[in-house]
Amino acid sequence: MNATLFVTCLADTFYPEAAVATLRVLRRLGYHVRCPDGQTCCGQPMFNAGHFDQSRTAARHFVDVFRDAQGPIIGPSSSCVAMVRQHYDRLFADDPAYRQAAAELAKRTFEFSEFLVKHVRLDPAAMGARFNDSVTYHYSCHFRPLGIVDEPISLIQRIPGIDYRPLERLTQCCGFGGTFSVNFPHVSEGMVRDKVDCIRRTGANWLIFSDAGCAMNITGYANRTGQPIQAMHLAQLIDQSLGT
Amino acid sequence: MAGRILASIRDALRSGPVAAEVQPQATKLDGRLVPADADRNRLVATFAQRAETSAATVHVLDDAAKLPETLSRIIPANARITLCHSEKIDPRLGRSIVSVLEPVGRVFLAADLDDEGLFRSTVTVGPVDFAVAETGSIALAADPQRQRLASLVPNIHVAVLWADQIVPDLMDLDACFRKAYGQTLPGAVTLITGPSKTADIEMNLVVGVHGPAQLHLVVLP
Amino acid sequence: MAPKSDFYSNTVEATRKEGLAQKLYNATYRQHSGREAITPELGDINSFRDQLAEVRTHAVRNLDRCLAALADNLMARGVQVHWAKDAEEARQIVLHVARVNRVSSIVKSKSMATEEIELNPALQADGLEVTETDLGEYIIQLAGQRPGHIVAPACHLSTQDIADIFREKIGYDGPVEPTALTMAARAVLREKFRRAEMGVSGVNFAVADPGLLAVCTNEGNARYATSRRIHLAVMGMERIVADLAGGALVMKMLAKYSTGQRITQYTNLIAGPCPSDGAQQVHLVILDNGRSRILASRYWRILTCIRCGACVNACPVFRHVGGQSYPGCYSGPVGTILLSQFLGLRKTADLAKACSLCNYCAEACPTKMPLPEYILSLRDEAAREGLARTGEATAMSVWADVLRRPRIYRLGQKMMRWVLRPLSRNGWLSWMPGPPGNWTRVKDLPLPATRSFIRRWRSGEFNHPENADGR
Repeated sequence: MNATLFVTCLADTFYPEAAVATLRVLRRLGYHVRCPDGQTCCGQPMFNAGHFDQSRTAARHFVDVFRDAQGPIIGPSSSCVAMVRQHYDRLFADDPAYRQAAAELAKRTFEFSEFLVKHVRLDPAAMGARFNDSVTYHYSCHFRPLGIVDEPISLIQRIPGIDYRPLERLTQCCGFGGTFSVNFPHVSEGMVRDKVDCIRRTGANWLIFSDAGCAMNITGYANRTGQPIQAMHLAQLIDQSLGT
Repeated sequence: MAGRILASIRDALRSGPVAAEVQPQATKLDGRLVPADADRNRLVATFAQRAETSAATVHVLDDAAKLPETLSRIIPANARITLCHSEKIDPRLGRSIVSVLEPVGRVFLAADLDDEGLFRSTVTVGPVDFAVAETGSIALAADPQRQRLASLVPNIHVAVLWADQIVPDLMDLDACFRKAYGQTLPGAVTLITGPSKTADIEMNLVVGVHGPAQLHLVVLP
Repeated sequence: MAPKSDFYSNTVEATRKEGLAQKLYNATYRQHSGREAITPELGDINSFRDQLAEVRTHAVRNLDRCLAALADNLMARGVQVHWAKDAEEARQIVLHVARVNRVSSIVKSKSMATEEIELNPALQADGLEVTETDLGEYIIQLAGQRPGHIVAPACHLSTQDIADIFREKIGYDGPVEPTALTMAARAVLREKFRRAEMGVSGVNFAVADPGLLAVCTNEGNARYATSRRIHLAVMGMERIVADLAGGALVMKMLAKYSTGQRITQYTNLIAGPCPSDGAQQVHLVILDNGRSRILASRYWRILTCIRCGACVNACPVFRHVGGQSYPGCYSGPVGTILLSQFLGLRKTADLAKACSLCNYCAEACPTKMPLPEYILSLRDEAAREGLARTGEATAMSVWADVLRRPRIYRLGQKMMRWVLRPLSRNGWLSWMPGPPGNWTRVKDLPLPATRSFIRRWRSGEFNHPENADGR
């Protein structure tokens, strides 16, 4: 079975271990994983800031790189996958060729946890998974447009040995929002403070995340305020629990 | 003025982005939550439950003979009672509602009261035009007996209704209006669901703000 | 670049206000979770949202016909229908009705449309006594403040704050306790109701056929305001449905999405004058004030909003900045769209920036309003009009150009790491120049990884000998 890895620029640059874990988990599931090394970024940061032309430049490159990708395209990031599935159509509204190609890509681009739960139907217990520690999980905002509800949590909860601590205000945004964190830093700070307070209250040893932007925001604030939070991507949790 | 604004609207509809967007196929409105064929017991039960969650007090009587006892429990001693539309209650009740109320407090017919009198009353008793099970609401129209104001002003409003006045769902409003009001819509119809309340002060619930603090719904068989 | 707006500095002030975030959370969370608790009663929520969207979209697409039918039906029953192109015209109409009828005292039930046209100051300048009668609106009227929230205007004030306001303005000397305070307001307002010759209300929604104006409250204040000798209703012209079935649908959803109630305690359906038991005169002011311009724009769907406030209650940004930060009576996601259209983007570009694109508003909205898409469109327009941060567009262009050149991109990643490493400690950056400095003022930033994933991939680190291509 073929699969293609959509690394995402933030994971590539800041959290390569998340991409490594994604690769390992997919291989463990029997996929021959390819990773087009010309990939850079889906163009989301420019798009979110309202610079659509610039975003299109990056998006065209993305489409060109993944056009001939084999199998499902899997990314360890809901916001990047949402960019492709939710916004590429709008971005290429006046470009029929790329619009068509993007639509085709969108059909087979998946976020990591949705792929594992909805397509692979991963059963951690059946695969001998084990994780003997306490974790909490932060729900990425971009799960909403992707129609992901509690799939990541159901996956986590089914790992034998795991001590899952539910997060209060689970679905409230952590305050990253791309350029928002730089344009309205005081509001972003208030939002991340709420999130970090809730995380600390769970008493969990690990924060599991699905989006690198959230992780940077949360751990960056936690570190600055003197109580660092250990965090890993869901792919790393799965990878470690499978003992690959 | 109407012409200018309507012209701006037409221009916008004709030439704006709204014109280019594909209008979706009209689907039949299917907003019914309580089935049209729900039986009477179910309607009464739903009505009672819904009204109670809106903080009304519901008294479902299995026998109209229990009305006097119920009213004397609800209505405080020495109440000044405004009575609306005894002529709509008496025939169905089979007796004079005035005679039922007189032992309980001082009864004034709404039609006989001026503003001053209405504002001095502590309880209003009257029928309803219809009721809705889905929301636990009763409906009252403005009319010469001033039931609209009379049901607003006092601390306690007691509505006397019969089970067959309860329609299943808000989607039945159109039919209700036709049946209750015929061709001439009253100037105002008020749907009342529970007593008056607010949570404007730090989300603390306070009952009896401008309207009655107590709404009693007496459902007769 | 547009100068930093009042909105920006208001939000800074808001985030520094002790206790505000907690009050806003209490108010919004309660309504938000109320909505989540009760909407399952609708059964197929998705279908209801689609139906509501359709009912409202149909009315907006046929707005001229719906409004004409509404006006005809109401006029046939003796309602006087006025049409106001803008705020000034609307104010003049209300003033005229008051003068002609020798009104001296007016009671108002809550109406965003009247706040939008700044009606109260105009009436007061003409010597009229105007009293807000929705408890939250009454409180902020006494305090001289703007609403903190579309549905709960005094949500930013504590019980102590309100007691202080009452003490100062109405000589209150009772306990600092919600019921006592409410009863004090009730007594004052009851007198105002009795004396007022005229009541001014908004319209939650109008029903074109048979011609009804729905005014919904929980307190009963609109029952008074609509039954004084003269009732004047101000209606945003888009707030209409075609028939009673559509009206019933709005009734089923409005309170559930707004406060988590099944329905408001009172729904007044006004069809015309009722001199024996209500108003002798009923006036309707149909207000355009920029709505026909919105109808002609890409944001036309915002006119299908039913003003439930669900988006406001869901918005995490609103929870931290509150309604008073906004340059108008509308706030939260819907407020951002409306104010940008009413006041122009030049004055409101900052509002669209104050959004993390979390999509919670879209999820919460009963009509499936494409709010995040609209925010993105506003940002697109702002960028084109040069309202983005200075140099941002250029930086984005440079960045985009790098992104389509993988080798330069990878080189850039290496260089970034090389430049930043000396600034870092233990893998964290506490200081960055330029706009990223806004981040590092309050948070650390992780240092880029020693080697990017793609670099490691290219080095063969993950080669899988079993694969045909060796990778």
